[in-house]
Amino acid sequence: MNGRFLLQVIGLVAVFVVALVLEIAPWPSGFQSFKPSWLILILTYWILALPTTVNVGTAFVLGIIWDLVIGSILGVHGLVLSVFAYFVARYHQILSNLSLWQQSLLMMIAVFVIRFGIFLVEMFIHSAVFDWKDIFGALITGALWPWGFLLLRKVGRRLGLN
Amino acid sequence: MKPIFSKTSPLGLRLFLAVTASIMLILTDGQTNTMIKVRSFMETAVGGLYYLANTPRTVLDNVSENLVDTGKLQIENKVLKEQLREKNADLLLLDQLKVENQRLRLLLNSPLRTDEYKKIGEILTAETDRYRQQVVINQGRQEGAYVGQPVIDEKGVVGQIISVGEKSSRVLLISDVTHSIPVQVLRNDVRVIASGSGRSDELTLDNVPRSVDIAKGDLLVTSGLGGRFPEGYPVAVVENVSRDGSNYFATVTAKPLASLERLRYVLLVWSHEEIHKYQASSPEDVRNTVQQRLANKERGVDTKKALVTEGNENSKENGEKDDIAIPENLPEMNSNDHQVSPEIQEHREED
Repeated sequence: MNGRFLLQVIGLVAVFVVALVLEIAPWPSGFQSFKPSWLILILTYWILALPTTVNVGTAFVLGIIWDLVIGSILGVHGLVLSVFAYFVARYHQILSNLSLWQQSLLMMIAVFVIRFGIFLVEMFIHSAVFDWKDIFGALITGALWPWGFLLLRKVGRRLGLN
Repeated sequence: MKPIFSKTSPLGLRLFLAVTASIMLILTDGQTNTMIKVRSFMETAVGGLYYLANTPRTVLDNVSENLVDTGKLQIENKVLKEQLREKNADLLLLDQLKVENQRLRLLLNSPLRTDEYKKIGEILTAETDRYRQQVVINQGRQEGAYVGQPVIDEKGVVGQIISVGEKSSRVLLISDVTHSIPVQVLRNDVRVIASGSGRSDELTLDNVPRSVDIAKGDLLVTSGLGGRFPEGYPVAVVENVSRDGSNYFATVTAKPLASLERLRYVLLVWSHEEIHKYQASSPEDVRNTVQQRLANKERGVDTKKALVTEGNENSKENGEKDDIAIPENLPEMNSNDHQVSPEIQEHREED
């Protein structure tokens, strides 16, 4: 049983490492706003799947690592992600009973709100301008949700997590 | 039944803790020395991610390098050889001018210009926070990089290092909103400060009085004030000057010379004192790297010859150049000078 638990932890960590790598993977410079938020997508799935183990704490740690990796001030993404994780974990029963397309609609709104939240925190620290093209990135993340969901569920089943 | 002392604390409490911790972090990040050290330690821990994210590109680069057709390579080789010959001829003159400049400065009792040691670094990732202008390079503490080190490319100043990990470090570009660089107009030595605007093609000059003689097309070079950036490196070209009657200051924007959006290779600059520091730690290492570079096949046979011949020339001139640098370091310095584009060399000669 212990070995299995270890395997599950390693599997989860690996999935999050992949998310972080995708987050810093090269992307054409003209289309920065179209980049989907891989980390938010993957984090949301795991909160919905395991709301008791993956929630605010994981989101906070992940947010800090995200800050480190993309070089923003420590705590910016941590703050926004932990608030987001709180709401998802709080209402996970309602959210996980929705159909896939409803979830992906909510995902679009969530990603947009998160990006706007990050902008607000940045603006509080120093001057920043919000790029409205970020909406497209949110739409793309939402559109990717069904595939992401199914893929991650497969990964979860393989690890025996569901 | 739910246990009273459950192992997991309730969600609300966790959120409270996380939010408090985040706000504490935001307020303290970069403010104290301990935080800078902690951050550099964590930077080292996540450094591997950059290399991981970069693997697809490295693999693809290798594949495309292996698939290049020979004819193209031959043409390229020929062109590069010609360029190298021209640059070498220019360098002959430059060396002579350098010595002459030193002598004149000695006569005038003004401080001597010191030579810099440069090293090439490669960009690992430019995917950063959209509210920041930063890149990560593959040179870290192991290679002698330090916080505050100036970074340039073959066209102009790129930025400075703000955090150093073991194998990678983070460069703040001059176009970041939090970055400012002291510059002077090359034409008439008017000193101004160029601040980033958050856009990679624009710098703004702060607090320029309306009457100051500054015009479109002026070249801005580092003034060396502030002690961070060595004097004389080109930074930007003035693009727009508007003298609005209602404002006491002129609004001046400039375009950075370095191609900040398409950075691939950059040069790290060690000024004279730092060379000594760096060498004091490991003179053997420096010699080894020089030898490694000489043996390095990527540089091509022709470069190798050029380096060797240059080395001989330098050893001849060493008698005169005592005050400049340590002989074993010279070949490498000159080899890096090849990166300098013709325009900049003109400006240097004007200096």
